[in-house]
Amino acid sequence: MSYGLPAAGCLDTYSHWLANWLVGNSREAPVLEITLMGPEFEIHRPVCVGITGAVFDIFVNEQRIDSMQTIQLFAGDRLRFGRLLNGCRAYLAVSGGIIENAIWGSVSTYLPAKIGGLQGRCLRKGDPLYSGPSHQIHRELPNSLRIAIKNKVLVRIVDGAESVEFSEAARRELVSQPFTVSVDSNRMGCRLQGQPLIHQSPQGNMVTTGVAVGSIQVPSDGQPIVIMADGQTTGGYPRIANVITADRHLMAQVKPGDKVSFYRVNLAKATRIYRQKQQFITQQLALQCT
Amino acid sequence: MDQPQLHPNGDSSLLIQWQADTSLALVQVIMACCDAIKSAAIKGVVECVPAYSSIMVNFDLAITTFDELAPILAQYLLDDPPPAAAVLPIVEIPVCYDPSLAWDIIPVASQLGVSIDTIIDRHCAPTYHVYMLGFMPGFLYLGGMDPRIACPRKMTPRKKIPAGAVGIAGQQTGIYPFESPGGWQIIGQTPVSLFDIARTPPVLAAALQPVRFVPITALQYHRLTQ
Repeated sequence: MSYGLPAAGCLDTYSHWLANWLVGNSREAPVLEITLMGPEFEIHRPVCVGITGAVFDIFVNEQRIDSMQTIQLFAGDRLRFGRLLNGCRAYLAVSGGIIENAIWGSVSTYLPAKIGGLQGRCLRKGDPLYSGPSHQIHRELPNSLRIAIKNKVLVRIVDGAESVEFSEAARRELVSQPFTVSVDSNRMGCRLQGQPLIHQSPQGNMVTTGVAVGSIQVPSDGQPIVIMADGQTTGGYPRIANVITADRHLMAQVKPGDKVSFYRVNLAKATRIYRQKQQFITQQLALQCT
Repeated sequence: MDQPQLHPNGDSSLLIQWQADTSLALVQVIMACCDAIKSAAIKGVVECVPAYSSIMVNFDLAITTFDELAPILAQYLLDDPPPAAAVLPIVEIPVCYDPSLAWDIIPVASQLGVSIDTIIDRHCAPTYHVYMLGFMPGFLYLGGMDPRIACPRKMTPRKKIPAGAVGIAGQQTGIYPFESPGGWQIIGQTPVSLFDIARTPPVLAAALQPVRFVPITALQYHRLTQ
C-alpha cells in the first residue's frame, strides 16, 4: 500500500471463506467474484464448485440447482447463472482454487491498473479457467451461516479520524437517516445519497493521509462515500466514521437503489463483534465436518 | 519536532499523526519511523502507509487492538531526524499544459487572477520532492509547490480523470497514474507511465526523490503518445 497499490481482493470476505470451505480449499484460495450478472461455464474436467454470497438462479445442464452446497461437475456439463435474486456479489470457488500467476503474493485482479488475475482484466467469453482436481466432498452451509441478504441493511460504524470536525447535526444525521446506494458505486467506493453531512470547516479539505477500507469519507457536497477494497490508499476528504470490519461484507452486497442505515458502536464492541463472528463461523464449519 | 499522537482510524487501523507543517525534514522522519516499524515485525501489524504528516498502520483485529498496539508503536517514533539520505537523481516529467488536456487550467487561472502562462511558469520553476506515494499505485505526492498556485479541491469529485493527469488540490500537486475518480484541479497532462508492475521498482519516483516538470506542446504530447 505504500506504493499506492490497494489491498484489493474479495469485497465479501465471509462469502469468500464459505465458498472455499464448500470445496475443501484453504480460506484464502482465489475465487471468482460475480457482480450483478452471472456467467455460463463449459466444464472440461471433473471439478467441484461452491457458490455463496448473492443468490442467483443457478442451472446445471438447465436443471435448477441450489447454491450454498458443494456442486460436483463433470466434463461436458454446463453451469449457468440466471437472474440475480438478492444481494450484489456471488462468489464461486473451485476445488484447488483458481490457478493464475500471483503478483506480489496475490492472484487478485485490480482493474484500474490492469494488474493481476487473468491479464488484469474482466473475464470474457472464451477465457479458460484452470482449477485443481476435484475431490469427493459434499458440504452444505448450515442455516446458521446462510445470511439473508436484504436490500435495506443496518451497518455498524465506529467514529472516524475526523468525526469531531463534523457538526453535531451531521453526526446525528449519519445514524438517523437511511442512505441510498448510488449507481456510481463500484469496488473502489460505495457512494451514498441522502441529506448532506456538513463539515465544520467550509472547504472540508485536509492534508492527505492514509485511508483504511471501510472509511466513510465526506467530500464538500456532503454525500458520503464508503471506501471499498480497491479504494484509494490515501485521501484528503474528512472521515466521519468507519464501517466496523465485521460488517464490511454487508457493503459488498448492496446495489444501486438499496438502503443503508448506520448504527454507532464503540471500539471495544466492534472488536468483540469481529472476534465472536470469526469464532462462530469457525465453530459452525467445524461442526459440519464431524 | 513534537512527539506524534496516535488515534484509532476505524477498528483495524490507527494513525500516527504529527502536528507539523509539511516539510522534507518531516517526511524523512516519517520514512525512518516507517522503516523501523516494518523491521520490528510487530505481531498483528499488516501494513504501514506513510503520508505527509502521518503513518497509517493497519492491523489484524483478530490478533491485536489499538490499545495493545499503540504503546508498542510509540517506542519506534524517533526524536531526532535520521542522517541525510544519499542524493537521488532528478526525475524530469514532461507535461502538456494546453487547455484541451488541462481541463481546469483556465478556471484556476481565473480564480487566482493570473494568466495561464504564469500558472505554467510557477508549476515548472521548483525542484519538487516526492513526499509520499498513495491514492493509487504510483501516484506521486509532491512537495515544494509554489503556494501562489494553491487552490481547493473540486466540490464534487469527478467520476473519471485520465491517466497522466497533473493536478492541484490545496497546497499539493500530483499526477494520476491511471484513470480514476478524483477531486483535484487538472492543470496538465503527462504522456509518461507512472506505474508499471513489470518494472523494478514499479513506480517512477520514490519517496524523497527530486522531480521537475518540463512543459511540452500539445503537438509534442500527441507525438509521444502515439
